[in-house]
This record gives sequence, C-alpha cells and structure tokens, in this order.
Amino acid sequence: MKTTDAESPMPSDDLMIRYWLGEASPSEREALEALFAEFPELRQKSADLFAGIKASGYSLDRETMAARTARIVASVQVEAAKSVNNSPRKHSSNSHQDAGKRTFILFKMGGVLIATIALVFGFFYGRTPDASNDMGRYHTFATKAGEQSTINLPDGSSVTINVASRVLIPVDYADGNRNVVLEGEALFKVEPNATSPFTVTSGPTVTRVLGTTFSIKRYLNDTVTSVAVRDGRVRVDSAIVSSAQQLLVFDPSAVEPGTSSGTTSRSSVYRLENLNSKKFEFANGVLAFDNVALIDAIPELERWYDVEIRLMSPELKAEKIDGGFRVGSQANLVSILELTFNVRVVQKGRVINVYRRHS
Amino acid sequence: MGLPVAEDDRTLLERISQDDHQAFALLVGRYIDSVTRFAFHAIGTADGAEDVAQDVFVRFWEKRNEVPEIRSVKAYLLKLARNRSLNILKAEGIRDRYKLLENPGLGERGHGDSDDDGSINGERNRPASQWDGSQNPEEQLLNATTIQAALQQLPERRQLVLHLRVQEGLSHAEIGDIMGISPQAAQVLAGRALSELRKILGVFDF
Repeated sequence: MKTTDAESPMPSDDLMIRYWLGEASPSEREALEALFAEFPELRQKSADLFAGIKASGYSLDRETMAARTARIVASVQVEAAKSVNNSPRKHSSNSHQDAGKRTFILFKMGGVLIATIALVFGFFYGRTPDASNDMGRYHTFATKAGEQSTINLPDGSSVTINVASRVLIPVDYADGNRNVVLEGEALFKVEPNATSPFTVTSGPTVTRVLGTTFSIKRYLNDTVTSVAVRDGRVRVDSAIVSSAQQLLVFDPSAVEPGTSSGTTSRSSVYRLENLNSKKFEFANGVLAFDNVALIDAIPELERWYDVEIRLMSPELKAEKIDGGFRVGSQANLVSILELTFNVRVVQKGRVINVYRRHS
Repeated sequence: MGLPVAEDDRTLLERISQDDHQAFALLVGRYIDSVTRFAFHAIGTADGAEDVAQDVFVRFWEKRNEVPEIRSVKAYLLKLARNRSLNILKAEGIRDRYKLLENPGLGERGHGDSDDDGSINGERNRPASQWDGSQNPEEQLLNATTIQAALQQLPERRQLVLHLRVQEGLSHAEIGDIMGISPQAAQVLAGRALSELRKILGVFDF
C-alpha cells in the first residue's frame, strides 16, 4: 500500500495536488518547475492525470443543468409571486419567512406542476468548450434612478437600459452565448444570428428572438413581465404564469386579423394587446404615460427622477396621467405635476409631497 | 453606470439575502453541477442526487438571511448536501453508504487512518476493471476514461476526498468539515488517494 519513498527526488502527492491547485508556495513551485524542465514527461503526465480527475465523476449536461436550475428557481419563485400578490402594492419582505416554508411543501406536492413549468432556460451557459470558467459569469451593467445607458454589444446588437435597471451580459457573449438577464426595463435591438438565439431572462420569463427590436420591463417587485415588440418575432416562455396578469405581450402582428401572432406561447394565459408605441419612448429619453392612474405612475416617476413621491391627499390616487415626460431635473418634475394636476408640491430633499389644491 | 463587473459570490450572497431571485438563479446555475456530483457520490443514484440537489438549494434559499456570512459558497452547499444525503441514507437504513459520510469513530482526530476501515470498498459491487496493474500500464493512454476507471477502484471515501480536493478545489479544513475528520486527516487521505491512483495507473510509481 505504501508507495511513498522518502529518498525519492520525486515530489510528494500532496505537493503535486497543491501545485496543480495553485496552492504551492513560490519556492515549492520553483523547485517543481525545475524538475518539470528536466523531465517534461512528468509535467505532461501529471497534467493529464489532474485533468482526468477533474473531468471524472457524475456530471450534468448543460441542458439538464439549465432545466434543473429553472425548476429550483421556479419552486422558490412560485411562492414569492403568491406572497407579493396577496400583499398590498409594495412588496413586503416580512412575508418571506412563511414563504420559504411553504415553498418547500409546494415543491414536494407540486412535482407535476413544477415539472411542466420547468422550461429550458439555457441562459447560464457559455458555448466555448474550453471556457468552463466563464460558465455562468456575467458583466453587469446597471443604471441608477434617473440614469439611462446604451451599451453596444460585440455582434452589433445594442441594449438601451432604462432607469434603475440592471442587465447581465455573459462574459462569453462574443463567442455566441447571447443569453442575457434583465432586471428592470431595457430596449433590445438584436442583430440576426441564426445559430445563436438571443434570449432575455427577466424573473421567471424567458424571451427568445432571432433578430428583432423589442423592450422588456420587469422590475424587482413587479409581478408582471411586459414584453413589447417593435419588429420581428419573439417567443416568450414563463415559469410562473398563473394568470393573464403576470405577462403582457405587446405585439404588432397580433392586432391584424388573419396574421399569425408573433408569439408562440401558451396563449391562453397571455394577454396580447395592441402595440403601444409609448412602450419604446423611454429609449428616446421620454417617460410616457397612456392614461395611467397616478398611483400606478408613481414608481416610474420615482425611478426616473430619483425621488420619493407621497400623495398626501388620497383622492389624487385615481387621477389619470397622460403624455410624455422628458428626462430632466427634479424641479422639472415639480412644475409638470403642478401644471398637469391641480396640486401643490412641497419638496424636501428627495421627498416630494403632493397635496390637492383647494380652490 | 459603473465598469462591468462579473458578479462574484459575495455580491450574489448580498443580493440573495435581499430576496433577489435572479441572483439565486445565477448561484444555482453556478453550483448545481458540483452539488449534484457530490450527492451522486454520496447517494449512488442519479434520481437520489437530483432530489438532494433540489433540497439543498431550496434550503439555501430558506436560510438566505444567514448566507451573507458564508465564506465559501461551495463548501457550504456541499456540507448541506452531505447532511441531507446522510439523513436520507439513515432514514432508508442504507448503512454501508452512510458510513462513507460519517466517520466510523476509530481514531477520528488526527491520524488520517480512519479511512482504512475496509467497510467501504470501491471494488465491491463494481465490475473488474482493466486496470489491475498487470497490463503493462506504461503503454496505456492516460485519458479521462482510463482515469475514471482507475478512480473507481479506490475506496469510496478516498475517491470522495480526492474529488473534493482536486475537482472542487476545497481546502483541507473544508473537506474535514464535510467528511467529519480533521484537516490533517483530509490532507493525508487526499495524498494517499492520489498515490494509490498513480499506482493503479502505473504513472510515476515512485
């Protein structure tokens, strides 16, 4: 059994392991590399041996990994979505203690349900065979409130990131891994590439395209993913669509009778709406509202102007807001609010209090 | 708009602790292969390994308030996988297998000899391998398949330690924590596993 010979000039097995793991000290490394220089075969064979050990054992292929990852994430998201829907507008974080427990039960009981919604996300994995270290690694592009940014990607595609959003681009994007992740809102202009579909994962929703222009919106606390297509076709799959409320697809081809829809999806749960060109206005620096209740417009206004807006008179909530706001200073916002509504605005730092004006 | 930064584990942990599902998805994608592979070593079936992996990540999510404290995500997940596997094996009364994960109790601190108990022997239940040392191994190619076959001749506990050390890159202390032995014992076991592997393969039989 004993194979170690104390007199041998050969390195110990322990040193060999530490060397290949990059844990050897500089002097150990130097000594070993001198030995390798003398016996190149030693280097080659030990390198092969370690590569073999690393490649050994049970391993999942990428598709299986992606599918299982999607299922695991869906099993915790199903609960989160429920707890958000049951609570008032703002996401309440203290409901999560319970949510975690119920998640587990749901997974246990809901094997079938979750298996059917386990889609092939395929988004974590790069394509370069020798770039295994890149797998699942991303460059993050994030904007703050009041900030927008456009990034040009190596394949000629571009992403315009709206305020307070985050886009993750795989580090091996240039090698054909066009599976990006979005939190918030962004407009994507995608260069066609038949061999590398472009996908955007936003929460539980995956949007897949070949070459098109479209925008997606799903902020962290949103329970709805909104996909707007300007041209081309998209395919949208979602892991947690349980009602029409959770995914809105705005699609130009869907409004014309007789034309096939640009989306292939479980359409029974998707609501297709007329294309509203205002969905793309943000990319031109315009925040557009189409007859939206003020209370629903507030999160957007807050993200655009980096402020906190408080409606001090409850009856203001239902007031409708219509038209576009060009990106600008907070002072701008105050005058617009005062002009549009019959209100008085009091600003203290980032906080904007809005009162009904009694005439 | 900062410079692009690859999301490191620390950033992901921070985001996960704030209920960020996308960060969780990234973390699961990053570690599901390692966790499943470990669970397969422990449980011995693909279905069992899948169940363990699912439970481990759901458990991780449930404990997300504590995760920012974690130093090594991989070691933490593999420890969860070890505990979960052990519970399953015990519940099912599969003694032979859970000894793999639980120190048998003889001389457990310090000497690293505790794997030589003979109760877990990788050669049992396995087809005879071509690598019986009598085939002039010098002429054999050293490729992934032959190394895999040779690894399977090692006692399972040694396979597991070598796997944790070389494939997963864990430290001796982390392996000791997972296997229930001292760091020194883990170090000795890994070295022995490699030396035995070399002997089976006939490479540098020094």
